[in-house]
Amino acid sequence: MKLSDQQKRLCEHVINVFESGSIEGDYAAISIYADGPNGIKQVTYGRSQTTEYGNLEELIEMYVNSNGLYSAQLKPYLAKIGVTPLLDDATFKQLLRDAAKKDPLMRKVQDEFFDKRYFQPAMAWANAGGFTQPLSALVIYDSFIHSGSIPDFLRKRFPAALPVKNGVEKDWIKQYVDTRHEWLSQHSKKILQATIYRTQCFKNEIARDNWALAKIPIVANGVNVVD
Amino acid sequence: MNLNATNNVLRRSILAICGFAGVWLLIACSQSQPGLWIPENWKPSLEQVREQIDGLANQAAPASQQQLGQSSQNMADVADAQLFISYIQLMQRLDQQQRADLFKEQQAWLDARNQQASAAVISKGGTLAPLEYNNAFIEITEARLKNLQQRGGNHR
Repeated sequence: MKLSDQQKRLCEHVINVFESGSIEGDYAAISIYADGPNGIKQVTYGRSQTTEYGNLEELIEMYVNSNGLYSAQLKPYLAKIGVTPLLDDATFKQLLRDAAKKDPLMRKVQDEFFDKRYFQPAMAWANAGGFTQPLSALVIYDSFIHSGSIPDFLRKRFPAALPVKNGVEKDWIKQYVDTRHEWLSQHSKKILQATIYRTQCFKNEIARDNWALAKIPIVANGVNVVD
Repeated sequence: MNLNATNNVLRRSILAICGFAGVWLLIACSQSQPGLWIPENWKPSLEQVREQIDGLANQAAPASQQQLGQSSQNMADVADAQLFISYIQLMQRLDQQQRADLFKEQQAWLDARNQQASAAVISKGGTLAPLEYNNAFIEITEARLKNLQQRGGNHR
């Protein structure tokens, strides 16, 4: 899978809109979710969200080692992340927000971190499957961001074969998007149904034959993404 | 009112209600004899807050994934706060042995809730995962809420 810089940027910007509502993404976003070990609440941080008991320590370590504006203040927290609950530590959360808002280095580190954690695994999966089209990259990347992978239970619901197994790439992507759209739109919980703006965006791009992502803007959840 | 403003109001409401409920629970637990500690006509309600969040999450212009995730967590927190209130209301109507039994039962149920909600998560680390967890958490909590409310009614 070879993407030009512009095609990769388009993919990232579309996903940023899905995730945060803005093209640039929200690098300072902090959410508290009860999805830590044994259902405990944990801090979730950054443009594509990494968790206190997941990979937040790795992200902060990368930043600390980059000698950013807030590296010295964040360094003592390295020993605490994933060990001592930090959801009520207002200083820690403010440092995370300040670093993302005031230090371009934190944004750069997040870009590298999320590229390594999500984009590269998604492209590795796409390459192994024999995909070549930029729109396929966007669809697969989105699944890795949203569901962490290409869920097996969805793959079992449609017949198309992977390109690497002599299937037709556009057929596979179309059927996967349709299947994912149907799963989300018919979900028993309305709030999950609300996420179909992602698959609707892909359906629109497939309908206008935008496999090279050359036709811009791409309308993502009502936002025009042009670059 | 936008989603963020609603979230702030919600957080304050939950904190206030849980704070009062917590104080009452402490007082109740410190008494050797069962009795009523909560005035009969004091019935804190989170229904409107809950409906408002639900409405915002399902409005015509879809919210971002981060907003949806936060809304689902808020709905889960509201459901849990409602359960907490019902638990205290039921607890104050029981005798000492019944209170001890309900405490143990609730402890076991809390463990089971986490296991069931975790099992409902299909996503493997994606941003959809908190929504899946919270939706299961809400469903399980609402069922328990009905159960405790019913038992509370039976003890009147």
